[in-house]
Amino acid sequence: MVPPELPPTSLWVAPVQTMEIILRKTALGLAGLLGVMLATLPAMATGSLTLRDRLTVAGTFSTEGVGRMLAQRFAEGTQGAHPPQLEVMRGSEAFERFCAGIGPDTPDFALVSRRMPRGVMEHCRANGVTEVVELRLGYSAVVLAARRGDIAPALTSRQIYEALAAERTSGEGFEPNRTRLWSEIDPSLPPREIRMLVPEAGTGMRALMEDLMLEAGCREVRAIRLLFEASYRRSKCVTLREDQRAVPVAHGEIMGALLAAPPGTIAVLSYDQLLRAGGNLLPLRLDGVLPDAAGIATLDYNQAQVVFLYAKRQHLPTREGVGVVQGLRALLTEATSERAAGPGGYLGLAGLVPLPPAERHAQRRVAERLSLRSR
Amino acid sequence: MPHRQTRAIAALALLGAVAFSMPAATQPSTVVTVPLQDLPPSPSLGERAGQLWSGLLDQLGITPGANGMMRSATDTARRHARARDDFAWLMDVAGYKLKEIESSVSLIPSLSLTFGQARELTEADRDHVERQLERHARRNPGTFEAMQRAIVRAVLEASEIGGFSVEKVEIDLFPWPKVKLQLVPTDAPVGVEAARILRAIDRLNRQLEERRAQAPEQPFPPAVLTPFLQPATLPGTRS
Repeated sequence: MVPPELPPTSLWVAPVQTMEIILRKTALGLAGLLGVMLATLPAMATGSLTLRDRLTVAGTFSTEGVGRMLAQRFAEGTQGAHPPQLEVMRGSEAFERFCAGIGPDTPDFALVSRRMPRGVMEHCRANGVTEVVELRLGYSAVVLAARRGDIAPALTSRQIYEALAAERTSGEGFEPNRTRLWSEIDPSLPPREIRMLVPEAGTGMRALMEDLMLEAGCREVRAIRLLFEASYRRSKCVTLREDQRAVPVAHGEIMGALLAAPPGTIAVLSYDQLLRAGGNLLPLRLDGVLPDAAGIATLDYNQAQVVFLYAKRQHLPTREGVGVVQGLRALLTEATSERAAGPGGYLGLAGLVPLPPAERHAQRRVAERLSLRSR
Repeated sequence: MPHRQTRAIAALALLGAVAFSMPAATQPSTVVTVPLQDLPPSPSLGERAGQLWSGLLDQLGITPGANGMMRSATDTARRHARARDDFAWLMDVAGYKLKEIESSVSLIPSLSLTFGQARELTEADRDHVERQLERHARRNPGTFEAMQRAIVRAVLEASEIGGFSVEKVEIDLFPWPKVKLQLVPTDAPVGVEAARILRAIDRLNRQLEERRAQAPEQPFPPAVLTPFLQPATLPGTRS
């Protein structure tokens, strides 16, 4: 049975004996939690029964947009809630932080674009994180689009990389990328100037573009494959040229910028933005697949990925409101709600593509029941 | 199936005869070692393994097609080779290249493959591997293929949790399937050669700084002045 999450009472009322019984049920972190709680009893007596006043989320670069939007709307829509704290890091680090243990110093959630591997799950268990709730929030997808009436060539991620990268390969070395026309990359492409609008650096959409387009495009380049070090190889793949052929544009301005751009300009945007363009923009076939809901849902469209949200059920407060943090269940409910993750939901603004209806329903049930991950 | 039993007995007898008639070659272990990343795109792993076996059989005076048993063995070897090619491709996606094929012919023949880490994986690479494994599972639902995927996943997971990377993967296919992962700390001390190169780079950079400080009015050719030599690590980049 999962203890229901109730709002904290105005004063510290739970007797120490009750608290001990509750703590006895906790698998690991029992001693630590007790120690920390006893140490913080005076603070709790002033009104708070939890060890932390806000939720913490370990997010990744590619899920940052979704995380920030969710945190903002959750804080706005939940009375008395502090905005959840989102820390952005690499996926492996997010898993590691999440699995580091139970208690106020460890994140309540991990928001990642990859399912937690079994080995990491075992690592979690070894550290006492035995009750993990796994939710699929939706898909994030990055698409190419041109203005209606413009030429919309079918492209590959390799061609996008060759068009946008700061350097191109020359033998097994690198030289500055001075490619001007698409036809210089592939004679079958139109002899048009390369002009692309790309998401601003540091945004979730930019991270998606880097992960799913640029890295995918350079993965099979021999000179790149020969580089052992991951960070160096990635820098060769995702560093963009700075000669105005790849123009960074803010997320909300990309549609307007494309409509005002010279003919032949191609924009990189989220699938949700494409839908909201209402037919003014045409999606381009990428790696042979046209981005649509079906292709994204089956992940046949390579530039799409599933967004997972993991939560620690052990951080949930007890009936008496004693625990690590308040609001865990409320955030899960919010994240799976139709207003957030449904069609037209606000997470679409961060590029999230909704799951199919049945799957969304299933995820809402998981959030309501706080069902544990089975595998 | 008495006919099959006869074939099996004949095969054992043949191998036994080969083993006992060549005392020096009781364990004619053959090791093919190639540097990582320098493997040509073809022949494939299976072809290479096949060539190795053919060469060994030729040396022993046994020619494929000599009888039905050998033809059947060749077909089986070809099927296995295809599966091994698939596995080599999966390992390649996961950042590991075939480094060594070790094969020995005796009463109990053995075949083992050694993969070395050819490149570290970025987060996007890991996502890519996961996706390729899922697609592989959809296309190849068999038990043998599932075992191959399990090995690749094990390698990935072993390198997922802090501080270690899987440097080498040794896989014995015959006689008994076995996988051995060699984990090394990610911040292990550099080897003698690497340390020597790093010291040389540092020394050269110091010399260039000193020359620039001594003669600021005499500019060096741009190619010498900038950029300084540096190891292949860009600070501030993420993987």
